[in-house]
Amino acid sequence: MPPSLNVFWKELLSFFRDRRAVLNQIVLPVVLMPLFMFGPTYLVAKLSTQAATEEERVAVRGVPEGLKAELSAVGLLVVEDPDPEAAVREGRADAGIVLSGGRVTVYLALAQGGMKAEVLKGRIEHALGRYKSALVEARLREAGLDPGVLEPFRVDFADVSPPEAREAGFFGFLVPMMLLMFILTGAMPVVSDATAGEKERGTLEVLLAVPAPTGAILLGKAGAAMVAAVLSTASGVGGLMLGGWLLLTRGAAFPDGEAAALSFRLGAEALFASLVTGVLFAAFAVGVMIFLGMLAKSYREAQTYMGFLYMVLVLPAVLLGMASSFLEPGPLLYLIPVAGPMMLLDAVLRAKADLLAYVLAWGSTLVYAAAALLLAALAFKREEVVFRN
Amino acid sequence: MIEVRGLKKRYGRTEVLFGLDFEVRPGEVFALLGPNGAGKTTTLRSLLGLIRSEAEVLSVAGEDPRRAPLAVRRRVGYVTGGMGLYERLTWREHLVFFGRFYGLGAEALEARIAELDRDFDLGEALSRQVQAMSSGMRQKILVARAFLHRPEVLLLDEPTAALDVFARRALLDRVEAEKRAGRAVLYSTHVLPEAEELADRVGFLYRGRLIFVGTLEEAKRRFGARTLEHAFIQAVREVEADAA
Repeated sequence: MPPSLNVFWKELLSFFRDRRAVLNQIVLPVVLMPLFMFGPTYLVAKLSTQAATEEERVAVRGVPEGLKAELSAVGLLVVEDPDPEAAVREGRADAGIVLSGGRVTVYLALAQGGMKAEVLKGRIEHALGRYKSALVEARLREAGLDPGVLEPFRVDFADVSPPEAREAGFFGFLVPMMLLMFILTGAMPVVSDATAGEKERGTLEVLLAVPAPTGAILLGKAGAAMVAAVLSTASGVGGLMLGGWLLLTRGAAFPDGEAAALSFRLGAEALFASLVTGVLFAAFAVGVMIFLGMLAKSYREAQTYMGFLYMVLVLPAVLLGMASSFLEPGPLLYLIPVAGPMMLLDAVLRAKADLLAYVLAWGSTLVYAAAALLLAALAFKREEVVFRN
Repeated sequence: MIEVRGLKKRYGRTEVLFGLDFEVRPGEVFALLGPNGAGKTTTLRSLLGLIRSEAEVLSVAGEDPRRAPLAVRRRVGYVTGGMGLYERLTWREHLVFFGRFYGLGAEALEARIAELDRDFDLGEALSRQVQAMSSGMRQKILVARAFLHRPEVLLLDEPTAALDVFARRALLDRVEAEKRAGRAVLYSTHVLPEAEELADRVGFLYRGRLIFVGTLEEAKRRFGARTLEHAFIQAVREVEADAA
């Protein structure tokens, strides 16, 4: 077996035997992503739907029968009360309505009732709107006017985005950032363990004392870190797609069209482009991390350096990437490390990526990856770095 | 087997080895003795080509580690003082992992592991992960690993540093056996009684200088000492007195 494959085998074996790392990097993303991305939205939609059909008490005074009928039509229980405001404050009613002198006052415990009170407010507004429209229509007719004069034209919005862009859904803009984050967090423990961890345990010196070129040892370590990064990313994206699928199949709680808008799917082309971009970025990230890991004296110190890398290099690039839809990125922006691949992924998901974007982003990331791995190789060969512990 | 002439090493402006001269012959244990920081580990790392150093002659098993480090490493078994092991690998996996670097195929590896199993009494422990083992058991792997490819030269750097009395005894017996088998053994330690038991010749290394090279008897005679420890202390006193 070639030395690089041998090291690759050892690193992956160690990784897969580390239950905590496997749980954090591979199992949790696929389980937690659907929960984090869609869980809260689903829960709120479900509760809102429930609240919208609940029979809540509305205390009224001076309200005409027509409005009472509209309130009943949206599922509310209308009760006459001499003081609707007090009824709400004392908890005898969920809302109160007083019509006096051509003015409607609606009493609600908005600050106390939270979203449920907001839903109730929406139901009352809906009933009031319908009653108002009916009144206006009747008065216009009395005046010999067509009610259509109030609506000289209709407005319709139509999304002409290609289907691939629509499939990415509401969370599509988060995907490039998440993909790069998963690559970083997936590679980090493997690289820390394979560099500073080995120095700390004293295994690095033994490993370097075998008859194998340093470059082969480095390649084996980098390869294992990339596999961990790709698996972690696949788990995260898989979790997102699983959440999207669950939303489409179990998304009855959402209003019309919202489930489809929130869902997330990736077509074959987008998957392939994401995979290539992810692998290239992983090579770059792993090279930088190995360099930093070699500079560190301990596993903990390596984690600190990599956290620093995250703050200095990745966060600004992520912000830039997220703003790309406003910036209309010029070709040169695709050459920026980290931001370039992110913007390419964003363009792929929006079905806007052209050949130039692919060439610039992939080409530059490949060059950065080679430079980072070369830097890592130099660190591996410097005795001041290897024996600095 | 090992020939060193004028070995020098500096880290930046700090010189840590000042022209060492010694040799280790086949079937001989040469003990490199000195306190922590004397330069023992630096010497061993130079012999493996792990660090760059200057020398008129630097030869290990007929190869120069500066020019052909991989050829040297192929013929050397190296044991470090630390417990440098992979916690989540079993003994067998350790031996397979390191054996592959020396070009041992699956069959040859299995045969060699079986031999080491007999020699080191590995038994069921072969399939246990290192993290579940005592320090003595761990040291067995380190030593077995160094002997795996039947090296011509053994470089042992503080090999008993973390051992209990039983594991230490087993290791010393193993080194004795390797010597009888014709291997050249460079044994670096600051535990002088071990050297007294094992070594054919000794080198006193103090602050990067070899202040004495010779047999145990020559050392005791030269410094008028009953034991090697006394001889070493006397040698250091003389150097300090000359420097003053």
